[in-house]
Amino acid sequence: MAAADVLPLEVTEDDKKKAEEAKEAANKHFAAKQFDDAITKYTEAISYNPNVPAYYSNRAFAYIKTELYGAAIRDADSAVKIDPKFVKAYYRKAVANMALGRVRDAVKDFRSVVKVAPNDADARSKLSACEKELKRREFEKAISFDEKKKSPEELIGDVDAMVVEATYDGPHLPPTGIDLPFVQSLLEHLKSQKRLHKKYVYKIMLAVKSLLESDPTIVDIHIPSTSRITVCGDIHGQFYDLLHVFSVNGLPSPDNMYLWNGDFVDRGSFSVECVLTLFAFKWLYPKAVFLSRGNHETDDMNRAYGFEGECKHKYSEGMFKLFSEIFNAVPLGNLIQEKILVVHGGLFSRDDVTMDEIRKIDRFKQPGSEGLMCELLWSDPQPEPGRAPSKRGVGIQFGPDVTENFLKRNDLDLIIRSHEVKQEGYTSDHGGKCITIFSAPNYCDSVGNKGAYIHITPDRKLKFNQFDAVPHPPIRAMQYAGMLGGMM
Amino acid sequence: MNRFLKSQSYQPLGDDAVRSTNDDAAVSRLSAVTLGYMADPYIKAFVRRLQRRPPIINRGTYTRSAAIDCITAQFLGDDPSSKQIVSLGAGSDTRHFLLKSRGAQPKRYFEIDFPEITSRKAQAIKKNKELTAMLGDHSIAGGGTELHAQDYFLLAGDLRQFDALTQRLESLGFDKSLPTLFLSECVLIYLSPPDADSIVKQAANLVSSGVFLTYEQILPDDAFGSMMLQNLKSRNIELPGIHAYPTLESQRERYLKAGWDQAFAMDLNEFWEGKVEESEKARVSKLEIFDEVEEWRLLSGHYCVSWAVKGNGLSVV
Repeated sequence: MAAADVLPLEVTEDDKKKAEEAKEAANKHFAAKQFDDAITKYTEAISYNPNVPAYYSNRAFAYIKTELYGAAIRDADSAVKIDPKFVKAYYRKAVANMALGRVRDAVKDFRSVVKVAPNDADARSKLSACEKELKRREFEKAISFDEKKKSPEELIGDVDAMVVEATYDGPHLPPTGIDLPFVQSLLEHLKSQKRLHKKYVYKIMLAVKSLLESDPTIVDIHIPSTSRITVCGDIHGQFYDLLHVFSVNGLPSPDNMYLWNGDFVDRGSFSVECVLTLFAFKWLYPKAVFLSRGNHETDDMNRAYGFEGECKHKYSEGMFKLFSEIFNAVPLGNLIQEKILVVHGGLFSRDDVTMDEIRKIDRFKQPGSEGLMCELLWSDPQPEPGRAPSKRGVGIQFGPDVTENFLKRNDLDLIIRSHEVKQEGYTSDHGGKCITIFSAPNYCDSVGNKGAYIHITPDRKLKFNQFDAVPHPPIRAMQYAGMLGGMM
Repeated sequence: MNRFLKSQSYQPLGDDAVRSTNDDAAVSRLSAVTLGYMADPYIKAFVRRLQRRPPIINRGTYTRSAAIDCITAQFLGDDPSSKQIVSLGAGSDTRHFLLKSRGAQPKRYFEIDFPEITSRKAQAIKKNKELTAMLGDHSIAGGGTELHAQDYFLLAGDLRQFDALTQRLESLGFDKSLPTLFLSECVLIYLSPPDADSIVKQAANLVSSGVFLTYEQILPDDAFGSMMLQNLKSRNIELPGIHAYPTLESQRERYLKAGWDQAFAMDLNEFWEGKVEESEKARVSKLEIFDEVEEWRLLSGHYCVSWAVKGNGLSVV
């Protein structure tokens, strides 16, 4: 409750003096970059004398420095309630709103500054910069709205009516459906950097779309006694490294189960080949091949990190839109032998999340920037107990205690996740209860890391296997992201 | 092992390869500027075609620029008109014009680079009305490879003959008694260590007070660093200096042994984390989708700014 909500109090001279002293102390803390202490002292000043707008405005500044933008805005509002001409407060509010991406609000605030202080050139220039940004965002929103009008199936047309030219020299999908010889020919064909005919691509995509749409949000995987499952992490369009894994670890089959834990596409420039391969095997062996959705199976990431560009280059925008729909259908996680949860990112900002709740998530959409689905795809473990805001700006960081509590509450042994590049291809954290597995070696042709995958047998034992990168054709990472590499 | 199979396109060699890094950096700068990372209305005069760099490179360009600007601003302080800047291998750098547009330019600003680079820069400046106006009275020299104005001198030369260059500086009004900033933005690292050391030493001997500021790569020997060198090698770019001063510690040492009084070094990851204001970091983070935090930490950790002080050149950052 802001002080100005209450009737103006009787403030004694002594109170005023104490308030000023607290303010001076706060200012000193601020100058020494001790922002939390500054906040404490400004709060003390306010408690003695709640009628001074500068105390709120200064505290707002300290809140901005500690990224507590919501609190900063509340204080700025308090200050202008007391004195509507207190220019600094509008400034603080504008800065906080900009930091929160609320450009329209920031424009309003800068307008207020200019109104009250019409000679302030800096305010005018900030106002015009904000207005420009606002226009830009509204333009982007307007053009994207039109594109949503057609459904993906409408955009691609009638697949059965598509004709395969006589000149096409690639594998043909049997009329009875996918089989192993087709998939083996497909791998060879893709390896020589040739394209599968779009008719067959769409057939594979539509078959897998149907399979995934009927999967639950968390898929329960049971490993038959004669089998094992190989869990892979991010592959990020590194098709030649995927082929290498097949050469050392065998192709997927009913006895040689595979789970790919998200981020199949983006960064590496063979993303189409990767996702097509995974989908082909999924169609071929639906009970032996499993997928988890990663944060890169989303529109925003695909736009920025190359998959959309690659689709458009190799096929069409319509194909990308269909991929986008299929990514919405990819399960958010898999549960192996009832005890091992495999999700791309990690755990949650809330303590009491249950498997039941996760299974009930409506996954058929983009993950958004907060909530359980977003956290599943974006969070990272941290060594310290407790939680922290994620350095990525989305999701959270969670400590060993969070992992422990979640596993205990849900009667699980272990979580396996991916999402972070690791020098050795994997790490084991949180006392062995949180594993990270990453399968893109020499990530982006620059990190020099190993890739790894995990063998899990029915007894739930884990075995880690590492592998190095293999050469690939000279198409560098991010080739289709509409940007050229360069140096900083 | 080279990651790429043989590529067929022409790659420049030797000095040409080094010169091509200027174009690379200029394109990166224009990319970052266009996306709103920093303001620089002049760089587009020196770049043929706008190309967008990936988010991680834009952030790197922003951080590099901020770090160098920060130390330069500390050097110039409240009284830039009593100081000098010598920019080694300046390329398409716009710093003189940016400072002058704010009335914060030093008494004299010298830029030195290969004649192939300075002649293109001189042409680009002359073609641009705004830049030409900012020059004030000036003359073209060296057969079109140089520009001499009152407070700005674009000189053609080879840094490997630095003593000849210092003589030219003095003939153009360089004042040894004024505090001077020597700037090497990804330059020394392309020279052999003896040539680079000689420059650092001669700079210390030349002035009574000043700063030597270097921006370049470090840590060649870890997985990321060796990949970085391999990738550069496939473009015929070598970094002869990187093994001589591969760490922050050795970067500091290089100045102290050359006669500078104090030396400092910081990698760009540390600069981004510790020196960029939180609200500024938030602003920059929102300019583009950015999902490469770990890669950023690695990349920015492999670049540093190192700077040395002589006399009362600078208060510590």
